[in-house]
Amino acid sequence: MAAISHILERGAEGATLGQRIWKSRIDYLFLIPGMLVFGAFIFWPMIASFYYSTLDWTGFGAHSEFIGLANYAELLNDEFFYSAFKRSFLFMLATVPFQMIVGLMLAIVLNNKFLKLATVFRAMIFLPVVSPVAVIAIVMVLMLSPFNGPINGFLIETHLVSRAVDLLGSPQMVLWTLAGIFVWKWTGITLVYWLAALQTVPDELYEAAKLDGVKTWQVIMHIVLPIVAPFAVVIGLISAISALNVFPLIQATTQGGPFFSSEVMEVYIFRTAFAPSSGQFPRLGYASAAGVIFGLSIMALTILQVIAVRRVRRKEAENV
Amino acid sequence: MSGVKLTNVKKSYGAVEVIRGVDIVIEEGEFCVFVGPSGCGKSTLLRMIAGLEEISAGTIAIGDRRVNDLDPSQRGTAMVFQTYALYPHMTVERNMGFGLLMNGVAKSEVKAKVDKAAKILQIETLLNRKPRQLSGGQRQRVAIGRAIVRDPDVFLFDEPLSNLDAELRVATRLEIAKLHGQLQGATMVYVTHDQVEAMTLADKIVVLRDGRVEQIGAPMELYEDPDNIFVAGFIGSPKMNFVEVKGDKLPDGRPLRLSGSQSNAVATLGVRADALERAGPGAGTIAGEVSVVERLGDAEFVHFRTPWGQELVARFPPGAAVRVRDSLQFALTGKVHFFDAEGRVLRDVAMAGNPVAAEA
Repeated sequence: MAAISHILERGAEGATLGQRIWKSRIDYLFLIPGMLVFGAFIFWPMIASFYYSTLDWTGFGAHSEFIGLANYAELLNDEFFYSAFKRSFLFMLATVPFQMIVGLMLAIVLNNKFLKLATVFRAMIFLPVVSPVAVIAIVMVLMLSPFNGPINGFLIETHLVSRAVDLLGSPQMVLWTLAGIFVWKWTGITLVYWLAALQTVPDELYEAAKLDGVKTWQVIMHIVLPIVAPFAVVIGLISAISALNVFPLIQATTQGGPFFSSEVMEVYIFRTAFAPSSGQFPRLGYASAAGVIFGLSIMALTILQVIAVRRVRRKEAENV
Repeated sequence: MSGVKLTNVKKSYGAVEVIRGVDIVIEEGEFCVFVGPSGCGKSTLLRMIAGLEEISAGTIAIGDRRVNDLDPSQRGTAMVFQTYALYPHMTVERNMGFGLLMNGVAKSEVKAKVDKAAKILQIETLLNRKPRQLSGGQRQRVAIGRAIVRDPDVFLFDEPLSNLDAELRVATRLEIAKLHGQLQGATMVYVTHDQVEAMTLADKIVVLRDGRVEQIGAPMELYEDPDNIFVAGFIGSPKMNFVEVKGDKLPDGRPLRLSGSQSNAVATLGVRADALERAGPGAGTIAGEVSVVERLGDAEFVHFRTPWGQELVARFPPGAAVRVRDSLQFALTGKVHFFDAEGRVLRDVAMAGNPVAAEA
């Protein structure tokens, strides 16, 4: 008894923070590799980009000058920044609902165990997800080309258009074309998310409904959708965030053109930071400021996502 | 209301045959229990009646309709699932009325039916709750209510008590028995692996093993007069004692005097715990040393080890002064069953007089 109370006392009080850390020194030892990686690849870049955003610096020269929040002040008057920011979210709004709805419809169809080729179809739909963006971009540029591109060929043959349409070259159409490519590439992953959600509907519910003579569409509307609806929040937010990270696709197809009409935030940041075309000079500090603002916007979305995930988990726990 | 008739019903998944030709007649209004160890095909058979599994061969008829190719909803059956299968996002009331509402039955009519079923099951106060707010027993009632609302010819229960705790299981079992009385003429088919449930609920028990019917009969028929060693061992608690018999002798060489034309074929002797009685020193057929005494209050189960090392059990009246390591003698006073080498019962064999008395 005396020994036990002694141990309890020692554990509960009388130990300073340093003593407690020293007592758990082995645990901290094991944490070091993870913390190093986290620090080097996540924490440090965040701090660094905020620091760079307060500098007037090309990012290449030795010369840099601390200018406080002047970069931010300049951004607020930069029309290109506004347009890119708006375009990023427009792109998100154009892709996410499509991806979600098409993904869900495909998932419901492919969730049917009795559909013999379901796995084949799943694999086919998932194929674009695992294909490299650069490859898809090259193929799409060729496919959509107004000169001998097969898609224009098809449109002309079927008399849907009278002359070739430059889907990636027209400022009015380019963003929507890219949205289409994006949805095509990423619907597979949304499909997988939805399939996971559909796994939470027990087989007995379908069977009970079958015995009750409930029709398939009624089962989907009244049983399946209400049960998987909470997942929509999470899937939607994941898709939204991935729709904002669209740099590789656009850089590999249009580089933000023509006439900046497909320049989303990430392309804008890249262009201001590294000035890939002639006649510009790189402004890493300024680009960092844009990056910080965009990053904070995404972080706000992410926080929403975390809250939503927690809600869904809680709801699931209640449903058990 | 109508009965169910299964004629040479078979089911195979590819090359694996899980139901190997089953014939069962369930009369109208009967409470029929399919019982057997896990994997015997009892649930599959029930699901075949419901229409959730296809029938590979044979016929299933409900009433005078052949239902083999009929949609599950057209068969006039309602099923209660082991996991309840309640729609988690709907209230109890909507859960019960959902099927009817989806089939275009008027709201007022559905409400009347739901209220009536809720009254029978005494769940009127739960109608606005969601399944997650209910206990296991309440959920099971709602599931039964959903079946009642449909006013089916045949109720199908798939291990409905398995997810309940022991106490609730006994109480719910009683309620299902009452319900069968209340719903006059309702045919009920009930699947369980628990022979106590089968014995207490059934008008007729179907014992299944490996996709075949071992025996069909009233509970006491199966208990008193099993067709084979499997049924004898499966029905009744504690399990029937089986002793190997070789050339009219017990394993320890004590003689057994048997009468009947097939007495030469006897390979196993079966005796229930309550058919073993304590005999005086040297006066019993079977001897043994007590290993465990289970005192249940109304009876005592005395487990003992025979000279040839087998554990058997005898049922003693309460207050029997028996202690562990006592050496006891047992007489075969009650009904004794004899089985041949294939496990089939030999009905014309009987004990002839008291062999031990002759020996002494």
